[in-house]
Amino acid sequence: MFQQLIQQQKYVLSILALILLNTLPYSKLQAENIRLYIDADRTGVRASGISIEQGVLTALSEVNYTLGGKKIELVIRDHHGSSRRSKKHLQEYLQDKHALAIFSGLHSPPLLAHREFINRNRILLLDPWAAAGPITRYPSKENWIFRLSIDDSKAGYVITKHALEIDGFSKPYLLLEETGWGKSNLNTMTKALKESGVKSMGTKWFHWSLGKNAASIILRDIKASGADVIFMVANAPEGKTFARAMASLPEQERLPIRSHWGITGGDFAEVIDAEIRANLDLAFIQTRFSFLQEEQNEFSLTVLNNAIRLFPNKIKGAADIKAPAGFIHAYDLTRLLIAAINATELTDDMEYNRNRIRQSLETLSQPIQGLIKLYRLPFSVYSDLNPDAHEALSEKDFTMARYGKSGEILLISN
Amino acid sequence: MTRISLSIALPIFVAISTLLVVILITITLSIRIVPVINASQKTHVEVRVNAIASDIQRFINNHLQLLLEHSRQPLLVQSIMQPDAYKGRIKDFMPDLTFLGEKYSLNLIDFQGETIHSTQDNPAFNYSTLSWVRVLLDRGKNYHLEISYFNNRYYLRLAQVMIYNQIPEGLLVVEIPLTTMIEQVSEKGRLDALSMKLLWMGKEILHAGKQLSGETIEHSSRVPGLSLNFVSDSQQADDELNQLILEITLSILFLSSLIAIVITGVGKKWFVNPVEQLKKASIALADEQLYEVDTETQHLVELKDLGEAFNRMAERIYNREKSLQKRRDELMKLNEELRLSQAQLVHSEKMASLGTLAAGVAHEINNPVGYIKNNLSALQEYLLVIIPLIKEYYRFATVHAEQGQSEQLDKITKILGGEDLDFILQDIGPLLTDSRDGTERVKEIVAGLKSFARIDDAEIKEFDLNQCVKETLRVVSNELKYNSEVTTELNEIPQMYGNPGQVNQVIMNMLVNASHAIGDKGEIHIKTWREYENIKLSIADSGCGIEEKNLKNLFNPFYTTKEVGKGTGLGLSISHGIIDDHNGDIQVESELNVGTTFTISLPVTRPKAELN
Repeated sequence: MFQQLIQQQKYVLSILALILLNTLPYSKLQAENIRLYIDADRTGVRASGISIEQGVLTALSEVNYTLGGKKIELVIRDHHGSSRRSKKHLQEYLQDKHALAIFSGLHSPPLLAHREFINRNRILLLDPWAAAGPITRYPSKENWIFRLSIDDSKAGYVITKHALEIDGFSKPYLLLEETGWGKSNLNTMTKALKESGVKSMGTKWFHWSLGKNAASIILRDIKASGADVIFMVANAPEGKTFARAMASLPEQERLPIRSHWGITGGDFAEVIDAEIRANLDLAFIQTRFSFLQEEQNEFSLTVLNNAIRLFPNKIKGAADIKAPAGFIHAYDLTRLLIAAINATELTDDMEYNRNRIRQSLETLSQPIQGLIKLYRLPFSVYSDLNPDAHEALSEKDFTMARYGKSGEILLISN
Repeated sequence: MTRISLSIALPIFVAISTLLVVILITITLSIRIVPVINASQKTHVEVRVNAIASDIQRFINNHLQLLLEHSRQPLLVQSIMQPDAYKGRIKDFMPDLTFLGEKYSLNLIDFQGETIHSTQDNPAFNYSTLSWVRVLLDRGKNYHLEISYFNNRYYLRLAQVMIYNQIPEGLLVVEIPLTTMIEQVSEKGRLDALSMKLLWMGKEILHAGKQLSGETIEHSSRVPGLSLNFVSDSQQADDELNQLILEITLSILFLSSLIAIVITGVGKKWFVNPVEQLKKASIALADEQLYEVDTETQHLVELKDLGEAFNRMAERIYNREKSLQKRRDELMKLNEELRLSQAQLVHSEKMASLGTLAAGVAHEINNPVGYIKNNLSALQEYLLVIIPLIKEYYRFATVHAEQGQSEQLDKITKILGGEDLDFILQDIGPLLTDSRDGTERVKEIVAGLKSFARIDDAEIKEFDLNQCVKETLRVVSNELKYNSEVTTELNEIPQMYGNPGQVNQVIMNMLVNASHAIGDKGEIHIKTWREYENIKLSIADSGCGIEEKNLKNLFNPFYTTKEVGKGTGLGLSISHGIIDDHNGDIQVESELNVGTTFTISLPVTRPKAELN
């Protein structure tokens, strides 16, 4: 896996190098490059990291990897989900005079841990996935984190409403990973349940890398509480553990799972294959777009074709885009970044550039077409009164989804 | 040649045998068993050493395994990934992580080698500078073992890579004081007679057990650079072995002594006692007594048979001895009688010869003495004429001389030669009378001699004991008159029967003995009297007396206290025989230096020989 990662990196860089060498003399290359960092987990939830990179590259390919007259260089970092590693990469970004922005990955904890650090050091951070509510809600006008993803402060509502109103469950049990992400979901889900007049049957916390037996015990306890559905907030590694544990329980002890989308970040669908999934009632939140939907517009088809062209070995069709949320969000977010860069001029002072782009992002007046929607003023200046200022998506952009037979994500239309 | 008793020889034999056994066993122990025990001791030490070494290995392995398990704790993993968010929880969680109940310094290290949390207040190390940390985090190894010295102590440091999603994300490091490890493996006296040294890079860093010098066994360990040196106390093992041999030897010696005592006891009962009994019986047999060996209590068949055989033999020998003795006594008595008869025979013969001689001499003397007496009588008658005649002749001469005719007288005076003629004439008469008395006495002596010898008078006849006394006194008066004053008190007694010659011989013997006993001067008193139907004769002297011890032998033949040549020792024996023949007896009363009284008692009736 590690070697695969290196090969992947080499592969991407060699493409870029080829492009850059063909267009610019080497001396100018160093001086005028813009570096975009992707600091995501390409290990535990590898698919999410890869799909984010693919989304970013697909969007950049549309501008020939050039912005404001400067070549775009991607710097791929893998933090494994570790806050410490992520911090190291953030510091590397700060040391890099060419670094403009940094894309985050699936995990919320690194961002939650370093939110203060990011904002203090004016790191322009673009979040295509990590969903914890507080991430974008740094209590300052000068907010440096922009998200185009599901926002837990809304995801909880979406999951809750769907489960109660459409599926007809009434006794939900909260199963959350013991991280900032899990805690932010506890808040929103509790609030959402309260608004619906339902009280949760209880809350269970779990740590990363828990074992299947520990997971089984938790699931039995939940069943014993009398719950009829589990609201799960987990990433792919722990999601797989719970799914396996649930599938191996006797049928009468199994419960339906309504999950946050963290599980879609890795190889969940490959490990928890169709056979196992047949024993599970599993649905999860997604943004309201899928390459697998029947209605595809011209724009989305173009993007898919681009992607197929760019990654001929990996992507041969829509179903080959694993962890599609990463691709879709990263693509749309990169489109917004490109628009913001185009709306201003870049100088050689990258710190200055970062601030300009931040401000530009908050003031994108032109509508920008994305896969999910046409973005109109996606970001604005943050304030207590405008808590969603750095959220590109809103509640209506979210829906529930299920895995199809070959592991593809199928949105549940409602 | 020195000889010892069986009762001593048997224990000595057993003791020597036992001693030989003990020596043999001790030598066997020393030569054969000691090397075996030494070898087994060595093996035992090796086993113990291996056990301790493998316990140390197990200790390390167990703790490494526990560290691995702890490193998989989800909370720890999560803390590695989100240290800031988990600061509080990890602070509460880590101190409770134990290793087999023990708490050690635990350190959570992140992917850069920086300490996320340490259960120590002041982490001693900056792990990021250590090369092995890098190796572990770069997936070179999964764990690391080393010895570390800090805070003045040596620690065993174990580091385990923490994996999340197959990627090293950090380390869990535990620091275990080496002393704790040593305490755990060396409890329960496992280091008795062993010394254990921990060497790190060849340098001694820890020591357990006593300080010993001996054979060294070296063990390597899983920890690079750490080796274990064991020294076994061969001295103590040797001491214990020697002690053991001594104990075994003493036990055998004690047991053997016990067996020896028992054997001695049994031997005494089974062997010595029977032999002692045989010995006793033999001695008794030699002393002419019959001592029967007790065969019923014999334990051994052979000795029982021997005892019975001996008893039979002893009985026979005893009986034979008895009969032999009886015969010998008879023979001795016969012999004695023979000797006595022979002596008496010799004496009788001698007396007979003497009697015959005396009779012959008496007869020859009788005739001259007869005519000497007659001549003397005629001479006396002649003198009645001659003496007045001579007187007249002398008076005549004298008258003539006065008348002047002195020639006659001168002639007579010349013949007289100065002799007193009156005295001579006066003395002739008595001289002749004395001579005639002398012849008379010679006549009596010859008659007495004839009567005493009584050659022809051997048969029994009536005699008078008083007469015998008188006759005997006449014969021995010459012998007695020099030193003894003899008084007689001869009472009236009846005539009695017997051989007066033999009785005379007895009386003479008594008188001679009395005279010899008296020495220089003394008295002899002879008394006869009748007492009932017995005539008694006592002869008492005032001599030296007879010692009491000699009284019983007085009548034995040849017994004498006299000087050689003075007595035959037969006198009293013969006297006893004579009195015995006369159905009488002889009693002796004697007081030393006062005197002796022999009393002869003879029956009045005729002796039995006569009666027959």
